[in-house]
Amino acid sequence: MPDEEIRVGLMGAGGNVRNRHIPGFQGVNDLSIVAVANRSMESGRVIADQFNIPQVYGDWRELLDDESINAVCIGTWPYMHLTMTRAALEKGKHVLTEARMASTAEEAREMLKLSRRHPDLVTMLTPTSTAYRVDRVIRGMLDEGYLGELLSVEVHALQTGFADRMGDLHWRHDWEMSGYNTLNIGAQYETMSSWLGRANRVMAMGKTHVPYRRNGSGEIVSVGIPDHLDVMYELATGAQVHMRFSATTGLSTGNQIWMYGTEGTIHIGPGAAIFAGRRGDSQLTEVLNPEDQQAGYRVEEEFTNAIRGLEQVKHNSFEIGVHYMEWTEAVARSVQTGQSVNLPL
Amino acid sequence: MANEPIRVGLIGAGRNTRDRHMPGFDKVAGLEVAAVANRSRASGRTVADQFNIPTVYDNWQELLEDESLNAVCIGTWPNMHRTLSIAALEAGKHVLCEARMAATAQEARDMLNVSRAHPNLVAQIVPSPLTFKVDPLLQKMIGEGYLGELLSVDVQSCSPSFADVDGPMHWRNDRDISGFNILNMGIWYEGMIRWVGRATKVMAMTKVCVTSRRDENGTQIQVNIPDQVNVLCELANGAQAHLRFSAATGLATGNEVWFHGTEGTIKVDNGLNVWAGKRGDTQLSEVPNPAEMQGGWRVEEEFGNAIRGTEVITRTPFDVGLHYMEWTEAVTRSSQTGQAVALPL
Repeated sequence: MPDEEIRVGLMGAGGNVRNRHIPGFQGVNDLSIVAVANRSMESGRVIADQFNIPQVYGDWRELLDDESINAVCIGTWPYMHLTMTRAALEKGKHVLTEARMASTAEEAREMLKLSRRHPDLVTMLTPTSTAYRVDRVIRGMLDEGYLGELLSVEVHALQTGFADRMGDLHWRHDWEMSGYNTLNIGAQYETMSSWLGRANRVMAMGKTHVPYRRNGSGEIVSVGIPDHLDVMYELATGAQVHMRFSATTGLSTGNQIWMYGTEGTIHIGPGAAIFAGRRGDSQLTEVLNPEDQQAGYRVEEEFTNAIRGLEQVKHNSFEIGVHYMEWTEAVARSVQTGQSVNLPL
Repeated sequence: MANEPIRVGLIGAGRNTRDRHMPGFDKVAGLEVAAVANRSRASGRTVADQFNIPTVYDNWQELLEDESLNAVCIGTWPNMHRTLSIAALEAGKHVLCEARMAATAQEARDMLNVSRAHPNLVAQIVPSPLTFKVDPLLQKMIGEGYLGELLSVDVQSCSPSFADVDGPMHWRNDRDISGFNILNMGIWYEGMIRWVGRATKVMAMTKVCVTSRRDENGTQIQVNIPDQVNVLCELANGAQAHLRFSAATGLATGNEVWFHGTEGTIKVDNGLNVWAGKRGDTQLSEVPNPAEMQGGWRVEEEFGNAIRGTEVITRTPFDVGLHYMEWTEAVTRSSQTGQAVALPL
């Protein structure tokens, strides 16, 4: 199997598929992207022409009937991921799906269950790329106990524009398309939990500061997804994390992370600059993070190696996806009820 | 009543009484600090000698029987404020009581009820002076609509020290003395409500980072007051606030307050400098805050004027104190139950 030829079909060719997965696949030996099914024949043809993909299908179900394909990449919005994954697994295809895993925790759990029914097939969830550049340095510092015992974490994921009242309805503002996913909360949590461990309790408050938007037809629709969120959660160790996400914090200082421990502090500032200091230091100093030492992007390599039996899927398994979807849904539930929500759900 | 002589008795002469109130009282025409009752006759004598106070009482009960006194200044720990304030009001004395108002919301409620039964007597809590410098400027800018509609507030006051793991037990770490008061959160909340109004809902997570401390005999005592707090609030005006306090955030960058509105943003930095920017600006610019604009300490002057009928107490009346005590208690209740707590309690 190590040299098994991999023949990939693309189901949905959104931005990340075009920018990341296609180039990534093209770098893998004995792999060809043989087909694409997009929202329409024409939109499929555009992709096929751009990337020299031989076959275009008008419908993703036809693509799945193509027995020459042994792996698919699902690049649609989250609300289609369960349906497509189920169908793909039933047709015996390995599955790489885009993030977010699904719209709801229940869909994610269903996807995990289905994957377990097909242990011979590889299932993988594209990891977030938000923290690639700092991942290696941060993991190294955490592994060596730089912080001592972790006490608290403060995460800012703040956009810098003012509230765009009467702005356009984007799919991210639309519950039908996005489910419980909002702002960047799942991706941020994915990164934090991979570094620090999982939440076991979540409390959150949220607002929809831009409650009405114009849809594609110019009609005004009401928005059900928050655009400003404060989330608090607790780790099993007792450390507590606060995350603030907002699309309405004009002139904010952007994305930053502070990790405080009994012995050390790490700050990731805007532009992914890393600063750190320990007890006895008078200030934080910059931690060098040379580009040649940063973690590299290898999503398609991991997927195809797993198909070939050369490695196990780690970033990300469906199991990781279920956890972050449960956390995402816990945030929504806590916002709605004002209650703490325990994990797992 | 205009030049009514004011004869003040001190009950408890802690540091704030000696450093702040005594010099302040000195400046009020026709006001004399005529008596003191401290923890013991000897400690009372020490204060009396230092400040030329004519009479020393063995205990506060005797001081309150002195009919020549018409006002008291209560400078004890919070756990005695209710007992002493109520006794003083019932003895017909005007009351200036140290902050925090009390140990619990119920105690504060009792104090307010008794003060209402004596409307002819002044009842004042020493205000949080922390933000005096910027209070008028912030109230003006926000009141004049600089922000447009207020959307969110972020308050941070974190000590730049690492967790003092071998630290001594201080009265602020002892719930028997401090009640529900935690770190400086009440002080900051009292400031915040001057600018943006009250909270109607509270969700909180707290943590005790340094779990045991040594008392004066060297015995390890379990600590039951948190030293790390995250609070989420819904404000009456619909905005969402987050407040964060910690005594264990080594090398933290200090205090910071952000206000985000639909049209503008205001930031207060660690030096209490005010910065602001509006939609269309590329960055925040410093806002001039001339000396004549700034608030300042005038507690004893206000007390004296209120007694003479020329002023009504605004810093800080008992009803505002009750609100901040309810908020303070709500933080603990929410962190214990995992539920949002509505205010008023």
